[in-house]
Amino acid sequence: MKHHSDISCAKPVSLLAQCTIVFAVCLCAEAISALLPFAFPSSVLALLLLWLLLSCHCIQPAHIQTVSSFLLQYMALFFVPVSVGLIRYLDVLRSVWLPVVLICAITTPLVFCVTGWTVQLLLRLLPACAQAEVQTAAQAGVQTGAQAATQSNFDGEATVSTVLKEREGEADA
Amino acid sequence: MLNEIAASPVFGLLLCLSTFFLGTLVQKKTGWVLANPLMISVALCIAFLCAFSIPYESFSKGADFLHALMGPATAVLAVNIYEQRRVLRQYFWPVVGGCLAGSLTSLLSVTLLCRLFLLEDSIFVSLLPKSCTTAIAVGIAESRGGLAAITVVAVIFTGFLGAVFAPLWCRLFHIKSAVAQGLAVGASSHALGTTKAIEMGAVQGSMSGIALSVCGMMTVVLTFLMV
Repeated sequence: MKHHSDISCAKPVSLLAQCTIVFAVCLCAEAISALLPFAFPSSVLALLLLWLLLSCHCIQPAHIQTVSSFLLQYMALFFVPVSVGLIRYLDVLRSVWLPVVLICAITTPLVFCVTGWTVQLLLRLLPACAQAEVQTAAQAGVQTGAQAATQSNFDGEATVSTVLKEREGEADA
Repeated sequence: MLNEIAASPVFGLLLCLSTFFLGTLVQKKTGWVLANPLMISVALCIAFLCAFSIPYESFSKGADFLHALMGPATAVLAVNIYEQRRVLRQYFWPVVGGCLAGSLTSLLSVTLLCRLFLLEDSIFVSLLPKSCTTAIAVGIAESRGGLAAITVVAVIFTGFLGAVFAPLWCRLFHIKSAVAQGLAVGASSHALGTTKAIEMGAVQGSMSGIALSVCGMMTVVLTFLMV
């Protein structure tokens, strides 16, 4: 696959340069977000911007690989300060905890059910996707080893990308 | 003496890092989904600050270094979405249809229930993106004047529910297709659910990862259209 050879041939990019790229994208997103006439999360804008740059090959994943895998692996850590901010809202939480728990407990299975049924319906309506599903399932049969190896990892997002990378590698072979 | 130590920026940073490290250790040792490093770290930090009555401001002096990396950490989720482009193309319509249905259901049911429970607007906005991954949910809540801390609590609790009950719900709702199972887990309970989806199978794991990214983006757009 063309893209993979690109990654292996790409010159190593220093950590300093990688950080500069990522922070520059984030600052651009902040600027755009400030200019927009409506409220839009700047971090999501940065995500879109980075995805666009990756998709049009302005940036290769290898250009930001070290810094992005670090940030993804310890993603949850960066949310500790915001969550500890809860200490200032403990009285708020004390007054709303029951509705919050109920809302989560009701809506989560509902979303699960609706999504699952919609996908199953669409798979049935689109024969091409149903065929692809059989192939994917067969491919996944050989994946159990890789899967077991990644299970101990604590962050879902980092783990998924590992499984996928392994699968892409297999497909290439 | 304690106040002088707490006044140093290193204090907040070290408290976050050490408690989070402890959290990952506990999860590795026990292997429980419920032993979530973020939750353990936050609980320990709050307990520590309360026990020694250290003001939040001294803590945040150091913790703000980590806080600054929240945006970039969200941005590099783009790398994950980019790496999944092949699977995304293969299942384009089921992914788009399923995630749209899931995001809409989540937003509408949360809106309805918040009205029913007569919750304040600031709490309502904080709960609205609760099915998204923490990074995106906090972004949405903050840009609309919600309380990020409440959002994190709701997001993590939602994630736990998905991670614990996903296999049961699959049987209960007769969701048999691996693709549908993965997308349902990702759409309803983001990254925490994804850890369970990976245990259920490789297809479920990657589909769940895709769903959490796609649903995140859709929720951003939908909340913008809604409010």
